[in-house]
Amino acid sequence: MKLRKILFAGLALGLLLPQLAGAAPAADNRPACVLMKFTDDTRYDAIETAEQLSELVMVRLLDSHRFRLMETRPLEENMERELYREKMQELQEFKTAAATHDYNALFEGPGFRENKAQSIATASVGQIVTPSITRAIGEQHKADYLIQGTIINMGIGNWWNVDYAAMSTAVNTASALAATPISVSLSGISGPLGGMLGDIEISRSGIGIECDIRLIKAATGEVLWTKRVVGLATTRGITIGAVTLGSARLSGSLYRKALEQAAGKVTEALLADVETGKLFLK
Amino acid sequence: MKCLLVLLLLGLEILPASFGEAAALDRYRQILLEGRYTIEYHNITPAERVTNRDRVHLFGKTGLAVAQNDYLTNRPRKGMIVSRGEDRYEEVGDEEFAACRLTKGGEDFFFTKYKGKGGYEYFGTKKNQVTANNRNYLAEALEGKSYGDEDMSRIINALLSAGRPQGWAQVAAGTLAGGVTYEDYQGKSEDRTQIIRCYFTGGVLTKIAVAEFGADAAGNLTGHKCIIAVKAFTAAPREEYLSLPAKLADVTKRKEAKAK
Repeated sequence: MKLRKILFAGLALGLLLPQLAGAAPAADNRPACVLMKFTDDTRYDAIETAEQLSELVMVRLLDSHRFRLMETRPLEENMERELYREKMQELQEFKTAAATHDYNALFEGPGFRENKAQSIATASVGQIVTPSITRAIGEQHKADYLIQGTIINMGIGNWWNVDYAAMSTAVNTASALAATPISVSLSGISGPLGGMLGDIEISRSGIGIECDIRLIKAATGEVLWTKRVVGLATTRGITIGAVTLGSARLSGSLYRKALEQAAGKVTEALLADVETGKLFLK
Repeated sequence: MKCLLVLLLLGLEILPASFGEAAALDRYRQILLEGRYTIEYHNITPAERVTNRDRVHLFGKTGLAVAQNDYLTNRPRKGMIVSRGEDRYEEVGDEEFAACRLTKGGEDFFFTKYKGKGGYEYFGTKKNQVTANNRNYLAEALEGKSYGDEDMSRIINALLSAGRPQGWAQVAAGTLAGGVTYEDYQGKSEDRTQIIRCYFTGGVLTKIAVAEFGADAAGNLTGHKCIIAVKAFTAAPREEYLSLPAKLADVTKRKEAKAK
């Protein structure tokens, strides 16, 4: 009985082996990528939005199976810190040039090339982020491309409205305020309607997280692709006399929702351009 | 001895050629002083917005409110300044979107334009309408006139003050490969130092590179660099920009109108 089982198992294995050999995975032609931890340019970096957003984006990218991710966690390498060291060295060069009145080394050097990115946050398509830094990260993780993001704004208000009409009005008001004494600009805020609508209160609040996402070629430091997205979570409360429907209070869950939205939009932007071939052109 | 004399004479000849003659930048300073010009530029390396604390500004400022504009944050941008005496037009943005200010008759009109399906669409206080604001003479007196974004405003105001104790002073001039000439300047204001190289192709200003540094309140060395590609800098104001676009109606309720 035992012998029969062994023979059967051997036969089954013999039949399966050729199939297993044929099913060996084809070479993965997807470019090798790593996701860098997002950088946070807002004043709220202490609440670690960058860490959470990076993790959420990582999970979505892994789920999509569209990228050959060489690491399954966002890389902790702080590109900003490396670039900061470079910037400090550059500032010393500024001082030397000012003291010697010899500007050639500074202005004709690599730091002032027109395609050199001023910082990681302002790096746009075609600009170069210091290649020695991106190359080292790429080589360490065997990655051809770095996916990197920057949180550029987070907060409450209506700034996130990227609809041109609403944005234009907001910008024009901001410009007018910036160029007008405050005593003038505040007049008329509480008009007669304020009193008439005293018994009904409709309040709306929300949290927006705006970020730039970019794809960098590790070998050259060239920025190949960028997109700006806004993750938004809003809530609304209506109060009629003593009765309140809904709540316009800001909460942790609203913040979490905004994070999820931002991560979703970052991933959507990446996937959409993978589909249309706009990513990995070079 | 003869050789020394020749060298001395040569030296005397060379010096005026470098510093004694009018600098190529003087021509542009003169255009600015005359107040009739068109300047078009690209700010290739705008400074990043470090925090979003800059959203409230109580005392007014020169320069369009670029820092408060999320569309333009951290992006390379184009600018245009047109001047004909007291009438001015400024624009900062890119191909898709621009924040604009028209100054006319002592009033400021702030509006934005964006590229729609049928050409540019305009928004002031609402679509196709704009209301005038009083011109902020106080901000101008404190910070100088506005020239597009803050980088360009700082550069042009410094250029205008060249030769004064607080202004730019020329430190060198020369020629690079390809015949591009340059003039180097240095300026100091409060605790900040600016070093500037202006590039000229055939005597025409084509690029301004600025490195600025100084100590912050905590004594740390801070600074930033900026590259402005100058696309046009002429003494001919582009008149079409000195009135509101045809699509944009001025709906300001002025005191004179009320009196009637």
